[in-house]
Parts: sequence; C-alpha cells; structure tokens
Amino acid sequence: MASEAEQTVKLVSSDNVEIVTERKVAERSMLIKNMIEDLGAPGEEPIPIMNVSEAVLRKVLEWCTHHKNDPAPSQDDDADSRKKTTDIEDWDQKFMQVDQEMLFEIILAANYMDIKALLDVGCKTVANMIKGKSPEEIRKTFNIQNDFTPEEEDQIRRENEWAEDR
Amino acid sequence: MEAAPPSYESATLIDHLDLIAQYLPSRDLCAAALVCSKWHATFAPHIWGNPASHFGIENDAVYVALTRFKKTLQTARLFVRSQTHTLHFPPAHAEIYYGPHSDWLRDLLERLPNLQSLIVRGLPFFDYAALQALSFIRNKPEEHRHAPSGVVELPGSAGSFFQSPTTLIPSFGLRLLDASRCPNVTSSGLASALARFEGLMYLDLSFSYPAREDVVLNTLRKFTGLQVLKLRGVSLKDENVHTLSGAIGLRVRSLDLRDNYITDRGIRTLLDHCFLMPSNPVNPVLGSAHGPRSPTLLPYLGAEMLDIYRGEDFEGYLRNAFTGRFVSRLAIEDAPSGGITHLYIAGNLITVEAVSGLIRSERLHVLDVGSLAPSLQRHPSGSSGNLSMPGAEKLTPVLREHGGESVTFLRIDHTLITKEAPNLHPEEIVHGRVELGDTSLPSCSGALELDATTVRPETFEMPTDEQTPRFELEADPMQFVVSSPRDDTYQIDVPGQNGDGPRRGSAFAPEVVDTLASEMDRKTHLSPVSALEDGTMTTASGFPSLISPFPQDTPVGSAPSTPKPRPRSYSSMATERKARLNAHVLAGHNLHPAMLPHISTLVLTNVPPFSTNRDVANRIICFIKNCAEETTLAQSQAELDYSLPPGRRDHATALKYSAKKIFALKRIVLEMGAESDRRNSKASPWQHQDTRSMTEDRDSEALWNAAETDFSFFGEEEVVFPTIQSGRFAFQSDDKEVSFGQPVMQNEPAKPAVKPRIDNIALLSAFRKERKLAYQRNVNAGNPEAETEGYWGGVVQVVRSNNMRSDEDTDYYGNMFTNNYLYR
Repeated sequence: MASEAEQTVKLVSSDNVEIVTERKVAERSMLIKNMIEDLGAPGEEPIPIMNVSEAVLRKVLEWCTHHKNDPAPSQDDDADSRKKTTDIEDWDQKFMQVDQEMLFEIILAANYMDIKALLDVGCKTVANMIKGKSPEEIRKTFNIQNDFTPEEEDQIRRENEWAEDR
Repeated sequence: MEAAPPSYESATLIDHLDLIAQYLPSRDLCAAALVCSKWHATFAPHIWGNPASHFGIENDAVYVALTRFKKTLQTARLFVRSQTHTLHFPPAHAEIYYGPHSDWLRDLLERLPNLQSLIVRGLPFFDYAALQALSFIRNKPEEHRHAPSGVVELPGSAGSFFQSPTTLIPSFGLRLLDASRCPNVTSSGLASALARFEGLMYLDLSFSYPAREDVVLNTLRKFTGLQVLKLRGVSLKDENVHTLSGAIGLRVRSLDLRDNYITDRGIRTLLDHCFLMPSNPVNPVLGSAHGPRSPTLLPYLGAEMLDIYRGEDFEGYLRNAFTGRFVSRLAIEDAPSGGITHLYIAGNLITVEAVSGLIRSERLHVLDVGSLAPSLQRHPSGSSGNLSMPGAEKLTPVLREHGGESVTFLRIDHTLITKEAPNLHPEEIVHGRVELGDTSLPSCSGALELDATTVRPETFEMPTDEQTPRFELEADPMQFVVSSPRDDTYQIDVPGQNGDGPRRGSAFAPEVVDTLASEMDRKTHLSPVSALEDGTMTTASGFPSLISPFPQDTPVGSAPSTPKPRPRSYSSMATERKARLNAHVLAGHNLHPAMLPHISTLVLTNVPPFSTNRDVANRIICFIKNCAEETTLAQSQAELDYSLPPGRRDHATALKYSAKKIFALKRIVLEMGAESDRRNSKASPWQHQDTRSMTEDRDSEALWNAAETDFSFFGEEEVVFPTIQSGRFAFQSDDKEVSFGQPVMQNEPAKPAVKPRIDNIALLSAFRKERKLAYQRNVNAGNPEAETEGYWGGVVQVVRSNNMRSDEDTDYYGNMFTNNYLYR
C-alpha cells in the first residue's frame, strides 16, 4: 500500500473529462473524501463528479491545491460568526476574480462537493458585492431587470421595514 | 425523517443566491429582496423565516423591533406572513419601556399562520397577561383580520390539521414551544395558553416554576402528539409526578425531569404509567401495550434515522428540524405511542434501586441519572446503620441483564466503573458460577443481552411468536418472579447485607427470598416504594440473581431446548466474548464495556479530579483498555460476518456499520466532580443552594439576580462594560473547560493542589498519549491492521464543572445566558 501522500485519484467531470489529482488535494472535498473512505482504496476506479463541468472542476481543484495543507475544518464551530465576517484572504480574493457566471458555478460546485471553506469564500465574495448597496445598485451589479410595479415595491419595502435598520 | 420525501426538483435544484443569503446581514437582505421578483422569492424567506433573529439582541432594541414587526403584520400579505416558521426571541428585557402590549403574543400567533416553533426562553414579556390574552377571542371584528390562525390558508402547513371541532377556540399550529426560564408566567396563564397549542410535539417548561401545578400538568392530556417534554428544575414532587404520568400516559418519548424533588416513589409511578411493558400490559387505560417495540415498528426509517430516533440527539434533532425549515409531518409521528425511551432524571432524590428498576424496564435508550450519592444519604433506608451504602456500582449486574439491548446513552455516577461491583451476595456468585460452567456451550443463558445481531430483538418482541418467548422464559428465571411475594419485587436489589457465611456458595434461593422478604417487611414503612403496594409492573422484570426460586434450572433447562436463532456471525467470537465477560464478572469486576454493546456515549459524573490512591484512574484505564479490546474484536467479528456485501464497493462502510452493531461505544465523557472539600457543602443538588437572598424566596432571588449586574447608577459608559465583561469572563475562567481529547486527551492545566494528591486526569492522559504513540509506531511500521493493546479510537472528553448551572446556561445555539439578562 503506497503511503497516502503519493496516491492519486481520478475524477470525471460532468462532460466526461478525466482529471487526475493528488488524493490529498481531492480530499479537501468531503464528498470525495467520504467516497474514498467508503471504497476502501482509491486509485483505479474513477470518481464521477456529476454536477461539475471540466472548467469549474479544474478551478475548484486549483483552489484545493493551494489550500491542501490547511488544517481540517473543525466541526461546525461558530458557523454563524464565520459567516458574518467579510474578510477574505488575498490569494482567495484574486482567485475569485472571475466572471459572475463562473463565480456562481464555483459556489454551486463547492456546495455539491462539500468544501466548506471554498463555499465560504465564494459566498462572501458575492455577499460583498451586495453589501451596502441599494436595490438599484444591486440590479446594476448583477444586470437584473426590475419587474416590480412601484406599488409592489412599496409594499415590500413596508413589509420588511422592521428588519431594515439591523 | 419526514414522512414524504421531497420532490426531485427541490432536492436537486440549489439556488446559489439561497446559499449566499446566509452571509448577508438583515439590512442587505432587505435590499436584495427589492431587486426583482425572483430575488424576492429567494430572500424573503430568509427575512421572514425567523423574524426574531433580525430583532437584535439588546434589551430595548428587541422590544422596539417586536412592536414594529407586530404593526407590519397587519398590512403584510398572507404569502409573506406564512413564510414564518420560527420565532426565537432573545431573552431581552424592556428597560425604558414597560414592554409590549399584552396582546402581542396573540397577534403574532394569529397572523403567522404557519408558525411552528416559538422560543421565548427567558423572555419577560411572556407573562401572565400575554398568556391570558390567548384564551379570549377578540370580540370586535377588525379590518384586515383573517380568521384566527390554524385555518387552512396554505395547504400542507403545519397548523391546520390539529383543529379539534369540539373546542370553540381553535388551536394554533405550534409544534415546538420552549418557554423555559420564564419568570413571569403563572400556572393559570400557562394552562389556558397551552390549551390552544394542541399540536405541540416538543414542550419545554424547564425552570418555569408554575409548570409544576396540576392545572398545567393536566392540560398535557390534550397533546396527542407530544413526544418531548422537559420539566427540569420546577420543584416537581412525587404527587406532581403522579398527575404528570396520568396526563402524558405513553405518548411522551423523551422526558426531562432533572433537578426536581422526585423520590423512588415518583419513579415507580412513572414506571407504572409511562413505560410500555410488552410482556405485561397491566395498565388498563393503555390497552395498546401489546405492540412490538420501536425497532420493528419503524421499518420505514432507515438505519441512520433509527439511530437518531433512539439516540441521545433525538431532542436536538427535533429542535433543529422545527426551527430550520418547514416540516410537514415527521415519520416518527406515525409510530404508536411507546412510552418513555429517553429519560433524564439526574439531580433528584432517587436511589440506586429506582435506577435499577428503570433499567429493568428495558425500554430506555437514553438514561441520565447523574450522581446518586447525595440522594442516598437522604433516603430513609440509607440510614439503616450501614455506612457504606453501595452506589452506582451496584447496577453492574442489572445493566448486564437488562441494559444490553436498548441503552445507547448513559450518564451515571463514576462509581459504576471506579468501584468494585458488590460481591456480598452469595447468590450472585452462584449465578455467575453456573454461567461459567455453561460457557462451553455456544448458547448459554447469558446470550440474552450479548447478542450482536439485530435478529434477536425483533423476535423477542413479537407477541405472536410463541417459540422465542418460551425460550426467554426458560432461559431467564426473571419471569418466575411474578409469582413471588409482592413487596420484595421492586426492592430485590437491596443488598441482603447478610454476610452469613453458611449461605455463601449455596444456591438455595428460596431461603434468600424469605430473608429478603422479612427484611423487607421490617423496612416497608421506610421504603417509599413498597409503601405504594401496587405490585403491578416491575414484577415482570424482576432481577433473577437474587430471588429467583429456580436458579439451577437456568443452565440445564436452556441448553438443550434452545430454539434460539443463531447469530449470523460466522465465528465463535460471540461465544468467546461471553466467556470473557463471565470471567470478568467472576473476578468481581465492575462494568465491562461489552455489557452494553449498543451504548455509544457513556458519561461518568462526579469523577474525583484528585484522589489519594491510583484506584480511580486505574479502573478507568482498565475500562478504556477493555473498550479497545472490544472494538478490535468487533471489527474482526464484522469481517468474518456473512452478511457483508461482496465486492469492494461499499465494503468499508458496511464493515464499519457491522462493527458498530456489535460494539458501538465511541465516546466517554468524564465530568469531574467538585473537589472533595467543596462537595460537602453541596447539601442539596437543587439549584438554589447558593441563594443570595436571606429568605431563599424565589422572587427575591430573581430580584437579586436581576440586580447583580445592574450598574445603572454608574453613568452611561460604565453601564456597558461591567455587564458584558463580568459575565463573559466568569464563564470562561472557571465555568466549563471542555477538552476534546481527539483522540489523545489534552493535558488539563492542573489546579493548584493543596496536599500531594494523585491527579487522575494526568494519569489518564498519560496513558492515552502513550497508547496513541504505540499505535502510531505500529502504523508507521507499516501494519495499521496490527492490534495495539489498549489503544481505543474513541473519544475521551473531560468536563470540569464547578458550577451547577453550567450546562443549563448554554442554550442549544451555544449562546450564553448571563443572569438571564444579556444574551450573547
């Protein structure tokens, strides 16, 4: 049995591209980690990642490679306070400088592959794009058409007023 | 655990905005909800799902937000309002204002049609007036008033199906109510309010003292679906327990009665009314006692769900389910009522006899009895001149006989492990000896609780199956106990205290019965249990080793005539395990991990941090060694098991699962006791031991509590600091240190020792570290399969607690309550 450091795993993206990567890198994803544990020994058998296309998978693996030596995430500690902070590491910030389409894809992939830290980074990036903006500014940022009538908008504003100054 | 699975779309389609919403503060959520209709559909549930989470936490801010929210509700559209599933209020006071108008609660309940969880823990507004307002229907019809809630506004909502046509006032659809630590409720207010919450499945009234009144307890009758009831620390006495047990019957599965004044008599009442006894449907009110037990009742729950259902996290699961999202109907609600299976009874005046009675019911999955020592001193029979009253260690044989099949969580005094099991009883020795002679046979009587397969419990429970029960009867002399004199059935476990030499080694148990019975007669007026004289239920599950009239029949009768379903494991390991266990018992040892094969968490309370000799540490280490041995053996037995799927795929999982079925323990928690000199001052386990008020009056106590951090006479700036800092600091400094020894225990900073003593934890920790190293060496040497003696992969946690209230002061979101004043 080869020691764990040298082991590789084969991942297959949704568009049927095989990507070989280190086991340690792949195991940043809890989905893959659990799968490997269940299978016993990794290696020969390719692991299908159904919901993630090749481009996104490569991007995700790039992040995993950079963070492969991070300490394993602890059990859901203070999940809430972790979510409310906005600071993102420099490298991660650069990593997230992609178009919005890709950004959303990464978030979904991180969610599917169960990579908590990457999900955090992705969501915080988007959250920072929303924070402190007016609805109109948000529409501009994300290129969204306003489909509310003025009355509807007014009604919603009144409905949510109680939560606004928090 | 929901009855109906989600649709494919909702299960697979994940909106990235939905993920992002959790990272946005309230204000940005509001802005995002205004962007477009699609965004509104995504973000509005985050605003409205649990509105109170946006109320802030400061005292007056909560009040202001609540008032505004109440006003908004009058104009908000129905589909928006029906997105609220939870109201979880922070326990904030109104400082400047008097508080909201008393109809706030009714307004909210009526206008939030789908509200399923209401958490008002420690909220002072949740008072008599607010509750009383619930019992009246508003006379004058108002504009934009919809029919009072509970109405069928949205199909599939939690609320509508609980309407009982007989009552005039419709019931709200609330499923979970946490009204613990509410100082301002009254019994009549609670009773009238509870009458409108007939759909409750989870009710927590801990530390809300009026909850103990009969008028409140009697309203529990109406709750047909109530499964979790918490009445911790409300001064319940035995009479209240009587009312309670009559009211809840067999419906409640999880009952929390910690820190009350319940004695053995109360436990007896519970056993009579709230426990399902498959073999003995004595209670005429509950004719449904015939049904098989829960595992067979819930074939549609997967293994994982069954684990939750029977495990220690059952209550937490319900809390998370009800506060996290809309829950239509949980599958477990369809299970017929099965009586109590989760019982938290620590901090009461019960004795070891009551505990053994509870264990003998064989119904409990989760049992928290805590430390019995203080209560023993109070118990009348404890003063019978016998200075060394046996503690929890006495339970070893009972657990061995009756605990094996069901118990998954046990919290008990450390003496269960750290003291010798009492060896006074000659009968026990005989019993053990008989069994030892039997171990050569693969199917000895001891097999009853040691079976590792699931085949047994099912067959055992089927009432229609005649074969197996017959085996049970023969193999287990306990059944004959029914015919024996009444008054000794419950107390059978009282040690005879007969050091009579001649009887040692003799198996003429009938004489023993006489002795015991006569002793019992002498004691009847002292023992609260036998004073009851029901003689009803516990007779079914008497304890064989003491009073069985036919102890010799056991091996002879059972060996040839066993129609026993063979365990499917293809190995002699089960047998070996039994032999091991018997040797262990014979050697006079205490609890062996294999006696409770299904237990996953074992909590030992009151472990002395320091002692004068190494006994305590050695015994715990020995126990851990045994755990290691059992785990290894379970793994190898699992590998030899037939039932594993062939091939590589899923093999590892199945292996793990199978091993877990054989030996499940994965966590040992050691709750350290206070230092011995301090313990003496703890005369009462009751939380008011450190009262500040002279009168020990509850109301003045509350005043003192409120005043404790009130520095308002200082000026603006000082108001903030002392309150926050003192509260937090106090908690971090001495309250609770949890070291997650994962898997090696951290070395706790040892407290300054006055005299040279042995630090038990240091010993333990050294042992664990050393074993871990040995294991690592083995792994590095390239054979991870190799067995490392004494290395146990499970977790050992050490909890140091000097404050009685510590575990109560952290709520289930990990937030601290400091003097029910500030919410962090």
